Amino acid sequence: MLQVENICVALNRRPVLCGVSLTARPGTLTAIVGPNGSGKTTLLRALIGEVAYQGKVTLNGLDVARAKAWQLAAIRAVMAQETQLAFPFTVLEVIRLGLSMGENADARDLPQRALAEVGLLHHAARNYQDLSGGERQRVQLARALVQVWNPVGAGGARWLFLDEPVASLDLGHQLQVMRLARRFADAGGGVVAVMHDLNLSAMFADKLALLAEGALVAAGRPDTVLTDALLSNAYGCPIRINALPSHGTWLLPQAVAS
Amino acid sequence: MLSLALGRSRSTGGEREARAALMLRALIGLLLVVSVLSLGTGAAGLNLADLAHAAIKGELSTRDQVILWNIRLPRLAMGLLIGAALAVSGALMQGLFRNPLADPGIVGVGAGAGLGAVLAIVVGGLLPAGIAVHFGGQLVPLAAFLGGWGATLLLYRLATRGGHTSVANMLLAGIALGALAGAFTGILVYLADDKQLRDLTFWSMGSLAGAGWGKLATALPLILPVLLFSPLMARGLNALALGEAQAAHLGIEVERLKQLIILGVAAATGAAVAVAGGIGFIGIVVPHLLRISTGPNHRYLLPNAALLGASLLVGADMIARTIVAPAELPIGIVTAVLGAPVFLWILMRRQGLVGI
Repeated sequence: MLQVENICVALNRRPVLCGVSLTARPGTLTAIVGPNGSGKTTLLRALIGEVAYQGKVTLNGLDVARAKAWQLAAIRAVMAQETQLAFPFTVLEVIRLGLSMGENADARDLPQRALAEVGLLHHAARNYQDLSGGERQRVQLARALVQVWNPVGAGGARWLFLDEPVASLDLGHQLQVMRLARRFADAGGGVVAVMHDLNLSAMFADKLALLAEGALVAAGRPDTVLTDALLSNAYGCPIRINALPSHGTWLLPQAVAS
Repeated sequence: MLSLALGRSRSTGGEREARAALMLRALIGLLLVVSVLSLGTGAAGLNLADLAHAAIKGELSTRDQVILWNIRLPRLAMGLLIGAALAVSGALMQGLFRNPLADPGIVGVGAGAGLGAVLAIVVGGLLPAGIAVHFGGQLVPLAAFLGGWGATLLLYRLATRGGHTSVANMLLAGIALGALAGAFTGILVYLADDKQLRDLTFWSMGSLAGAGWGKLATALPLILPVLLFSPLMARGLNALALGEAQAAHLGIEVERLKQLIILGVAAATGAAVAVAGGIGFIGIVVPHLLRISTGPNHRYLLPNAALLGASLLVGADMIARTIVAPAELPIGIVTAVLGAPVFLWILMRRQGLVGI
């Protein structure tokens, strides 16, 4: 269980996020959405302990601000928006970095399996720095998957924190990555992802957290958050939601000409 | 198809490891060859044939025994130790700064040690005779070590705010601190007399001359722990290649790792500079050559760097001892003449290598 209690974050003494409370349960995928500069990434960085915050964040009962790096690493993996590599490691070597010292350290074929999951097995021996942006993203996802390979383990659920995991991917790979995240959640793990694409969020998430101007505007099932009024207000432009009756999920926020 | 691909990628993924393991064995071989050659090379007429003769017959003249035990062996040991220290320190610094061109000098060791040494040479002459005698020949190394260590501690303090050490700030503060130390060194050089100037110049060019068991005993406790424990930092350094934040998410205690590396490098290079003066390029060229051939994985890079650095410095020392025999060339000149072109070649070979 991820519990966020009334957190505030200031960057360079400027408040960027305030009064955010949120819970995410194992077995669910939570998407953090909102316009640019609304504090999505800042919220994610607070949840993983990357920025200082007031308030409290606990993950599986562990106080994120006080936990040791290895304690957190054992239960959650993080995929950043972009990862620059300092030295010419191969793709396989990068993914091996995700092998934790504990439960997954012996499973030597895990990196290959994770690489197969993101469809990049044929690039195993290539230099990571030579890959395209989208391929790098998928390698980083594979590295994160290797770190928390079993969605449930000793001490509870495992968690994936993804910062715009599909930002630089084509349509097919967007679906591939979201399906992997969905499968992880369905198997009992927890996923928290910062998302730009509301359609993808509506399709794959169990819960949306909508941020605007550093505050949590709404949180709940996609159909309760994706409403004309909430979105139009948050994004500052008129937006209309169309439902696809055949599908059951709410889809296609659509800008209307004003 | 999948299993085929699995099998192939496994072999290609393991290729670098196999090559690194092979490299380790080759470097051990190189180290042994260079060491034996070094023992059989020198101004006094004890050569390889004499050594072979002694090894077979088990007899060596008293004079040759003295040469071997009191001059060549400590000098060999010193060369091995300092070469390994410089190369491993370079690899550690490059991993920490995430930059293949970083050098132990970045943490201020060189500038601080230089100032300490100059201070000892110039001001040391003014000390009461009793004190100077008490320290004997150890005053300059001691001052150099304290200067290097002090500069690093100061730099570390300057770059640390609220428990977080900014590597970028350390780099920038290091430039300022280096310039300041250089200015003070300049003042002292200005005040120095001719003999002191000569001492200074030779110190700054580095030398293994005057290596003895005493000096070795001073440097060993500072260098050996760094060499032995550096492989334990390999996982953390590999993770650090992804950036500090990512390394922390992988379970690395990043701040503690930084602290260990900075203090370790200050101890090892500080000791090396203190007993042998300024010896450049080993710290940059050795890790880089190894990265080109066996990849950047620190698990292999660190031990291999120790071996190659040791061999290279002993080799350079052989050249320094013999090329203008019976005189000796400062070893810093040899490493610079050999290292600078290699460094340039690396730069030319890989454009855009520097990430800043």
